[in-house]
Amino acid sequence: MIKTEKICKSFGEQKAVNEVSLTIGDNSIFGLAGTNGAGKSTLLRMFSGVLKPDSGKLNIDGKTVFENTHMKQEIFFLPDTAWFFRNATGEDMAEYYSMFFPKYNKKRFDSLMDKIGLDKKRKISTFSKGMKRQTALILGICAGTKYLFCDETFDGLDPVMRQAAKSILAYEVSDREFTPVIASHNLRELEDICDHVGLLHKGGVLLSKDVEEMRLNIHKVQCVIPDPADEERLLKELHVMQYEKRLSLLTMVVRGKRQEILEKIDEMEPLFAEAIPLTLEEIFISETEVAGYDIRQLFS
Amino acid sequence: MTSGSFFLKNLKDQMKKNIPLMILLFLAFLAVLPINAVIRMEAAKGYSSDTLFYETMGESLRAVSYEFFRTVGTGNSLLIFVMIAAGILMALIHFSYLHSGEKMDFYHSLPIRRNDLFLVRTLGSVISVLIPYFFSLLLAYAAGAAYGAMTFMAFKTSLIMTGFHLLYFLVFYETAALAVLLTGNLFTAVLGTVGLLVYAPALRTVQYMLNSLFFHTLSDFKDTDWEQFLSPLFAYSGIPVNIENQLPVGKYAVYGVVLAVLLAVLCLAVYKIRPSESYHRSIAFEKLQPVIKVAVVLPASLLLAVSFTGYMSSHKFLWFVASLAFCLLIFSSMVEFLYTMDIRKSLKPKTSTGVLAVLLGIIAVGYHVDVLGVDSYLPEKEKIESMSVYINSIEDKYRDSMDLDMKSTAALLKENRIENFDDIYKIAEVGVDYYKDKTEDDKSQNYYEEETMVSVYVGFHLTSGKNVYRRYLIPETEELTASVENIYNSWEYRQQVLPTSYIDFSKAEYLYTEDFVQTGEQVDAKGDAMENIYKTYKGELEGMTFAQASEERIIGYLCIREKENEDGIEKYYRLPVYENFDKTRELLEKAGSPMPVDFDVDEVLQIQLYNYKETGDNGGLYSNYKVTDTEELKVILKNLSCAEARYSIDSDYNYGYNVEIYWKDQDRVSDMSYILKDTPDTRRIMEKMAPENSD
Repeated sequence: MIKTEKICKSFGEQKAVNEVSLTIGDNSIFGLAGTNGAGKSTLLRMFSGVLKPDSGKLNIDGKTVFENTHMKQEIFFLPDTAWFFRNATGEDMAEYYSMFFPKYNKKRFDSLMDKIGLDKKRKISTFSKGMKRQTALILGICAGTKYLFCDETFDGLDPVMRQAAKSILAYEVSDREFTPVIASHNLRELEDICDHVGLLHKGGVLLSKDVEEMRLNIHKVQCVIPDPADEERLLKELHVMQYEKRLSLLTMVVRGKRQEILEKIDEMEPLFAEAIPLTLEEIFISETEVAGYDIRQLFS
Repeated sequence: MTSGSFFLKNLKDQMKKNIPLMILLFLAFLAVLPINAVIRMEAAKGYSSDTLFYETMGESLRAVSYEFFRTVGTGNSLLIFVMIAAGILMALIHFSYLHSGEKMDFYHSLPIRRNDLFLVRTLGSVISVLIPYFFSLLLAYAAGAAYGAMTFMAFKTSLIMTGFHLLYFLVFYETAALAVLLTGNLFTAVLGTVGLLVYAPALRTVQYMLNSLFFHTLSDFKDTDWEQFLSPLFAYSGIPVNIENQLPVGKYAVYGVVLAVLLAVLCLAVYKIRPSESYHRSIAFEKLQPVIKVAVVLPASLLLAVSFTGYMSSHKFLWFVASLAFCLLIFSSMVEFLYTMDIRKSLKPKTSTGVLAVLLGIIAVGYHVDVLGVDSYLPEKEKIESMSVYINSIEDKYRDSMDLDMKSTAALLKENRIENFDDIYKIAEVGVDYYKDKTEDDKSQNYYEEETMVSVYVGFHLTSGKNVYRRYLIPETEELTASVENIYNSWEYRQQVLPTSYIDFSKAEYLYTEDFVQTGEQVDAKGDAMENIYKTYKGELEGMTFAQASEERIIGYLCIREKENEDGIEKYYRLPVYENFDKTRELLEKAGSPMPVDFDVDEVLQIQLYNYKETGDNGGLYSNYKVTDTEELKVILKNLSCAEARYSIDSDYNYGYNVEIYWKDQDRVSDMSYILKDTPDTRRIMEKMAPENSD
């Protein structure tokens, strides 16, 4: 488990991470969302032991990470721009990593490279940007570490590869003790893979919630209620976070269980009623608006 | 995995990555060792026959063997350069990842401690140098053997030098590594490396220059023995010289080891606390920026300001302050620009610039007013155990005539101590009084129209064990002459300065004479006869009073050549013979080497008199007079003395005039220099000198 308590990191006068308190449970895929400069990369670098927090507490499995080689054997960091040795092949890099990570699985590396269609004996410097990212991801997954910190890893991957990468991560989580933390500025990239998402803004955490829980408790519904009085009553009875009325179509974002919401709408004898799935971005918009932020401005 | 095997695996991997560097190093070593050896041995074959030998470390070597010995041992400056360059270059390459965000993410996220990262690279680099070096050395041995030049001495010396090469390679490697760790980009890392290597000598130079600009009496004797340890660059270059001269080199080994350990500890400590995010910054530690700025700008400003002020002839302090202010602004802005890469920011006033201004102000004023009392230094007599004195006017008369065994003034002052020092103390008092109101502008005065100046070095050997030295250039007054006379007339002083006290005559092989008419005639005397001449001379020299030494003419020299010592050196002494040394001259005459007091005017064709008089505006006036009149020639010849007589206090010799004698017998050659006594008769002749030209 990763636990931070009010950790801070400044670069000169710039506060990159400001009193972040987070808890990331084991065996889940954690998405770290936020705009550029929100502090995602800095946070991941602190998780990986690259940077030392200026203040606050950072423990992974109850231990500090910075200069703790024992702990770092359980951590693999995939930065946004992965670096490889000059003239190194994928195989060379796997060989190098296996020196540091005792559980490194070279066989799995060979098999994954084959499956994805990457030549492990080809110099990485001749790969495209996407291929380099794929190679880095495979190298990271095969390290056999408990934690994998990915910084904008899916950026630059084609949709098919992105899906494949997500599947590999999901498989690893189900197969062994594995907790990937994926940082991205794109909420859509995180929504179909993460179990839990934290939103960073200006170095601080705006919110951190379980995606499924958010999805179960928040719904977007559209309906047409013939009687304006019923409509008025419905808006009062439901925990409406947002609503909009265009002609007779009422669109609401409502907190609560889907069944309970639809039952209440049915009582008003609607001409039409349906529940539409919310994107992660929409959920965040709603949640952050409640917290007093306008997320559309954050991501605009 | 055990930490040992993990370290070895890492080391192996590092060695693999060093292969391209090792190839480059091998090519460099190949050029400076075997190829260089072959070229030098081939050249030695060409310019010498087998009979040409060199003395090295007490052994005679054939020219070819000598060249081989020097190439693999003590005379290969190219090898030293390659080692220094390799150390610096490898460290810059090995730790360049600290200047890159991507590489830092890579290395610092790996489960390896920073200490291990440093140690693996350092050890890897030493092995990477050792392997190609040894291969090249073996090839050089093979070449030496092929030329028949391989000797045990060359083998032994090359192994000793190998140890030093590797040790100092490590020192330079760690110095550059420390510079990389303290900085955030390659440019400042290179500057930092240079800075670390030359900082201490630069500070010492600044101190010397300030002392020489502001102080009149400070005898800042350079002591190369410890000053070479101010930088590994100097120490490393000094090792071969010491080995060749069979001087101990243990201190270089101790210095190298201490420095290597110290630098390693510093590197590890700095790396441990170095923020990973400091790449692309000029200085890795933000808090160090003002400290480094002060440390760099302060000596740089002083150095430039002192150099500039040195060219000024008046108002030196004003020029010094103005140039200091200018340098401060320029250097501060330059350093700030290096930190920020922003011209506007670099021009903004900073606290560190204020601190610098205050420090420079304190230093400038401190030196100007002589806050430490350097020129007025005169300890209480009770605190002095003994004193020493070096009076150029007396001692240079003898020391300038020796071609070997010249001791430095510093060494003489340290050794020749006098416990009855009242008169030396008086001279020091006169000196302190003379310089009481002098400013740095007075230092420009290098001509003294009306006064004869006397140069005196004084050493204070305090009861506390401290030694303090001063040099006074003071006018020749009756008071001073009386003090010098008292000093000279005391046997305690004379026995230390007269050459007869330190010449070991048992080593003498031949005697020669030089006089007005000939140079280098061997005296036909051996054994007791030779010793008798020397002992007689010794008695006359040691019995001569101060007044005689000042006024008597020197009419020639008694020269002693010693037997060749174990180093193959023949010492040669040239001792002045005064006109009143009748007994010595009598014995020389008996031995067939007469030393006439005068010579016949009929032998002289003419005498040319020259004079150069400084005019004070950085120029001077030449004048000359050709003496052909017999009467005038007689006057000149009667007052002629050998040039060493110029070293006299309270004498009438006029050392401003040069005298050149043209003999009727054109085959007569004498390289003697002469000086003329200032008498009413000679003055009348000298007044006839006509200006030649001026500059």
